[in-house]
Amino acid sequence: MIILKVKDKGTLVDIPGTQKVRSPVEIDISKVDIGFVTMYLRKQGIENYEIISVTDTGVREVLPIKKPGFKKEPPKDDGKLKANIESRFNRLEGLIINFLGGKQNNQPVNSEQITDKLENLEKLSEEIIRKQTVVTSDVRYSDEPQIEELDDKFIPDIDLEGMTMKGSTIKTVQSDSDDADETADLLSSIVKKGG
Amino acid sequence: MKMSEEVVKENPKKDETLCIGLDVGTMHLVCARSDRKDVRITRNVFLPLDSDDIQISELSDISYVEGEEGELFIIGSDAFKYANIFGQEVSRPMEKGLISPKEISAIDVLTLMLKDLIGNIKRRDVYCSYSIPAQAIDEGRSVTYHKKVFARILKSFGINYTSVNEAMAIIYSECAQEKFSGIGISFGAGMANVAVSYKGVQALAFSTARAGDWIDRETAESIGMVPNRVTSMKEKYMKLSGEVSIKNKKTRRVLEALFYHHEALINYTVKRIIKEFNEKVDIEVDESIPIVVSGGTSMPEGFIELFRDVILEYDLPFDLSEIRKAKDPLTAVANGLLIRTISDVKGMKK
Repeated sequence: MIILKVKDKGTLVDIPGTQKVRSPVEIDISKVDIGFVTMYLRKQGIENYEIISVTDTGVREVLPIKKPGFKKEPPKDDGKLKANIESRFNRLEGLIINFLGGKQNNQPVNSEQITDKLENLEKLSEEIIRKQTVVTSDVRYSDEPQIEELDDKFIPDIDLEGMTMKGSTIKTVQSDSDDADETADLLSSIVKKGG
Repeated sequence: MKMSEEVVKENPKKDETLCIGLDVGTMHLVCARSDRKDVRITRNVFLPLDSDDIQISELSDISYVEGEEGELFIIGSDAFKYANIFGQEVSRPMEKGLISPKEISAIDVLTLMLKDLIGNIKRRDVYCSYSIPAQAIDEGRSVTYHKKVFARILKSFGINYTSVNEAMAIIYSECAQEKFSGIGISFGAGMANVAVSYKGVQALAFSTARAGDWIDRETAESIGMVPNRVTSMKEKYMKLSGEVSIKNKKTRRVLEALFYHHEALINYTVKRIIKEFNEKVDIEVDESIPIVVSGGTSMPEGFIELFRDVILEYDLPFDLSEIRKAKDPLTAVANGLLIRTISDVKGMKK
């Protein structure tokens, strides 16, 4: 069961799908979407509340409510990136030596390859300098945040070392949508008004 | 893509923030950028080839990815052409709306395709909303792995990312006039995604694992053909309204089977919408709301009319104001995601 607990006294709590009541109060909101509940609470100016998960055995746990928004966090594996850069420098050095030495071995090397490698290196260096990654802006109501974090270990690393792409199959179409900027402003104002 | 073309089209704004909407679909990858008026699309398919099968010199006009050990992957729409030549099925990085567990090279190839699709982001502070399906109600696969793989890909590009429900993106793109209240349905290749939104807030979202691929698979099975061929005939000839003008008997049989399966898909989805709405939406929506239909599977002529005929046979748990098609069913999700990104980024800067 999911319970909404409003602590402030004397506030009228009006959540669609539940009865209007005055706080302090605890309301069963199991059948109502939590996003909706928080939206209506914000609309009514109620900030002092908790959303509590109650198990069949009566164990109560306050659910964390994350506010939406892009956040930045430091990267976890700087060392790996640096090692990656070092190995790329070594490969690049080899390519340049081959190129200048008139292809001493039989491997075809051209300036385009070297440019590609330099671009990759530049990108990696920028990544280290920027020192930023982002977490999602999802509003999560999870009882098991630790499990979510553990999952990350099983997500494969992206390693494009040695992979190259030639050509492109991209098609472009003119956008029929109205001005995205204006629509975004309207969305912000409505969600803010509603929530 | 020609590099010179890209440079010309890009708006040389001095503002360093760049917002992106990235629709990651089973059949198409679609990208909308805040600095461009056009939307970029590529097919989300590839064809792995042995280097014995073909020489690189034979691929002069073809887009391909070359692996470190000489592996070759023909990508995009060219993969379909070569699949027919080599008598192979194309590989799909995604299956039923999610990252495919079958394709070992899928993530690397997909990463390169996405990098190409997104285009130049150098020296920009980039924010991107990418689409994810809602949890399917008729299949057990979790969305979490899929969501995190794309998060990692975008992170590897140095992009700030967030995931947004695909059907909600349709609401952002198509329902501004209703103040973002409505029901968005995306009939893609792998999944049908549904979201009920009230004033921009998601009240219900779910997906089903039946969509375009299901139609092709079931049709292929009933006619005794390979799904690739059915997909190709569907895209070439399929019309869901009016007379079928094709004279070839076999093609007519395929089109008749396709019609039947389109109708079955719509019936299935509408029944699920009614059930989920009745069970999970416990609010009074005091105004009539529209249904906006989008996605590649909704593109054949007559789809929206068929959808209307089917849904009006049901007793709906909400007042319906209108059933309409997205302005461009292929780009609606990417545009909606772009709108959401811009809205989020402006909110952060206030």
